[in-house]
Amino acid sequence: MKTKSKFNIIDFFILIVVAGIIAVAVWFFMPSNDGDEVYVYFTVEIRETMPNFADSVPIASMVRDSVRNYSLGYVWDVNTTPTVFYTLNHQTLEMAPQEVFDRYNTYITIRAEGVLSNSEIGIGQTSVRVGQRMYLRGLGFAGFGFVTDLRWEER
Amino acid sequence: MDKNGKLFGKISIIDLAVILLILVVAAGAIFRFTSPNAAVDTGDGDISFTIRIEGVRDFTLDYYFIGLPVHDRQTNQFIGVISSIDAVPHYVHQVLHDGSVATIAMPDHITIYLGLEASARIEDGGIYAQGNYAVAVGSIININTRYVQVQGRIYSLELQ
Repeated sequence: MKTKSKFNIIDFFILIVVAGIIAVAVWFFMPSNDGDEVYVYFTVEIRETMPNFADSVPIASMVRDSVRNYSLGYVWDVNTTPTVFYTLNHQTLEMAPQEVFDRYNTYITIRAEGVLSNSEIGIGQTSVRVGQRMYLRGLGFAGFGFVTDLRWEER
Repeated sequence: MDKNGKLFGKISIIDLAVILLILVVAAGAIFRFTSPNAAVDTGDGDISFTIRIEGVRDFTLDYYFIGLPVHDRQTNQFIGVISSIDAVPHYVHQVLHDGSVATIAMPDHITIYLGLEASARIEDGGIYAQGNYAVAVGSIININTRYVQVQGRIYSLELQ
């Protein structure tokens, strides 16, 4: 008695096509390594933090993107300045800076191993640009802000 | 097709439909995600357009360079090349005690006028940079350069 094969050529072809699509997708989303290898130093400004926030950011600790859990690098430096709002001086008609009591802008500089390509500065699975919003999470701290400074040096 | 739904008695029509669907989806994905990064000569001529980037911190000016390529932030499509960079103080409107509105310079903030050049396709329905990126005065544009990510508004457009 002839038995029906459990696996035919069409099923095999479908498997090949699906495997090919998965391979292309993996290749597409893998970070590119075309470019110069550099150390990237980028600074994220977190505004209006509490006075003790900067003390909670350990130097040399790892920092991750808190949304996608990518590793961003390691804390290189931490600085603070008083938070300033600009308000109108009605007498001089100029915008004047006013310090906000008990609030500080914290600047976290992160060092990462990156790749300087034609279109971006890649760090691991993401890229970094001035003006980019970043959500940070590290050892005992979290916050979000914009990239305000970007430097690099050859590895 | 026979009574069992098989073409020539061997190939199931369902299997065939699945294969065709997978191939169409794959082709669409490849087309969608592999936009060219090089300049496309559309044959209709060139355009120059200016993006107005309003109220950014003044240090961001250090990260713009003539000749840098500009890409759409979402699709990564190449839009054009920076041809000019101008910056002016950023002004804000403030209401005074007498109800009038004064225009006052905001310290540490600037407005950047970023000039781009690109090849263009011109149709009745619009002007398209690099073949298929719609460019219209007044529209908001989110761009990436190698060093900066920013949102602006298309301020002016000139056919060359």
